[in-house]
Amino acid sequence: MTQLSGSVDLEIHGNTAHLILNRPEKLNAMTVKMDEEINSYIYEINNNLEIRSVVLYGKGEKGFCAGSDLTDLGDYGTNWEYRNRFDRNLDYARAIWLIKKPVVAAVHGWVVGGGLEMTCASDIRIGTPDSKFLAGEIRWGWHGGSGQTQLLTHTVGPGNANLFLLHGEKVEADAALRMGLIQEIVPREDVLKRAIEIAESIAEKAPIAAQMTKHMVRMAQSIPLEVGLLYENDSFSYCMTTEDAAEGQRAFAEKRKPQFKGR
Amino acid sequence: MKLPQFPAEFKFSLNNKVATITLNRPEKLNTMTPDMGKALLELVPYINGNDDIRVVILTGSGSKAFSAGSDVKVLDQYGSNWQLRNRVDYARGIWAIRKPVIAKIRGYCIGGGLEMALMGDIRYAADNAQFGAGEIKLGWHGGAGNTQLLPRVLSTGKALEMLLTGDLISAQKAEQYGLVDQLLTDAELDAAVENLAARIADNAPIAAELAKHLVRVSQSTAIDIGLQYENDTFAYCFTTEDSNEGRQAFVEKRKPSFKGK
Repeated sequence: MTQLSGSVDLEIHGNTAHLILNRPEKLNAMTVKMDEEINSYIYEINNNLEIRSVVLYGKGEKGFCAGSDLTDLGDYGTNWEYRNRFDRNLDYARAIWLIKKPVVAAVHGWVVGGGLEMTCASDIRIGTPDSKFLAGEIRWGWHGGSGQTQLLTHTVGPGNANLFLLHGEKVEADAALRMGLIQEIVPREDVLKRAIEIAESIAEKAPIAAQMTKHMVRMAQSIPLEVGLLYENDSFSYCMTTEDAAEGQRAFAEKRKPQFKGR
Repeated sequence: MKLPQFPAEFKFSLNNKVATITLNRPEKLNTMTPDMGKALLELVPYINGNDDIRVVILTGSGSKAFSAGSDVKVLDQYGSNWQLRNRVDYARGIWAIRKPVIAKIRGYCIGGGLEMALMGDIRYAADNAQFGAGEIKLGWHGGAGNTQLLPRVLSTGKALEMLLTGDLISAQKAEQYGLVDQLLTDAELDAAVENLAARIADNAPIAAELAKHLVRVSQSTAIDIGLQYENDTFAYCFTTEDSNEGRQAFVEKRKPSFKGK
């Protein structure tokens, strides 16, 4: 495998995991090695009960992520092997999608290609005035393969998605906010702080209810509404059997803050 | 990718492009522990990433059982109820295998064992096989596919008969129901499965894996979408070297030799 710089780092701060794209000199362009690293963290994030939410961000001034490092695509193997990367736990946007805990993305500067796919695979997205979003694949002769045509369409609607996907030019932060691609715009120096604030607030909620909520919002995007309403009621009923729901009711009656344990 | 380490309750072998996974806990009817499930889950990316593997056979040691599902006595090893809900499930491991999977079934095929068999693609069974979704007798229903896959393989009435009674059905009845694709004597079973696996392994791997994928898609998407998806993967097949080899071999009246490229 080609020797290229960069890493994806996992840090755990309290009940929040930080996933950090760490290749600032190359706009955090993802190499196969970084792809392997991010995938290697997913089991830990999903199964460590101490982790209740996730923040995703990229290091450096220029941007969140430029997507795949096109000079390293060969390391994914033949066309058929590259097509089958999901089955080998080797797709970085898919890795974000597979996280069961709520993910807050803090994005700034360039958010391109696979970087945009990771953003769309997150649950809440905070941007900066200088954020620029681009699904540039079409300019090189393909479309994204890890959610670009599907997740972006669910995120911003078909007309906006087609603008991204077919036009292939950058969309600025204010337009992205209008489309719902990002939920807030905050100054560059505050974006990580704001994402952490949201993630830590989520981490204070009952973990089972928070994770179920994420799951049901996903369901709302992929199943018929009538089934979703029935499923929601069953998952609500399950939540009400948990110790945390009992604690929530007690705390409400006693006018104090509930202490949740994830049980 | 390196072959992961397995506990003794789990055997893996590879011969002539055919991988065999053997659940090896015969004294406990090949019931699954969380450790065995973890081993199976670690094996899946290896199988998917190894080009020498074209077909997978899943079976149990001995003739008493394929698998009687989860070992109910060690269910607590999964942790809290929420952790059980979030388990990485062994039957889902079978589902995650991209290559064709043949279940070779002798004796009991119950609960999670039935789910593993259903997550496979083709089921061959010996005439001593017995099938059941017995969870209901213990106070729950299957959590890794029995309620979703049985009605796709059987009719809804037959699926519900199994799911609501939890009773065992014979191999003969399972064949009538379509749960077993071929019913054989114990003496015939190994050779029949080997033969089936070899015939699949001789075909073009990309086309075979896509055929499996598209059959899955047909069970989960609207027919108009499925037909369009099929046409796009059909077109993709024609970009492969193997499709050229197939056409050449056809013209030259010889057997094609496929490479998975």
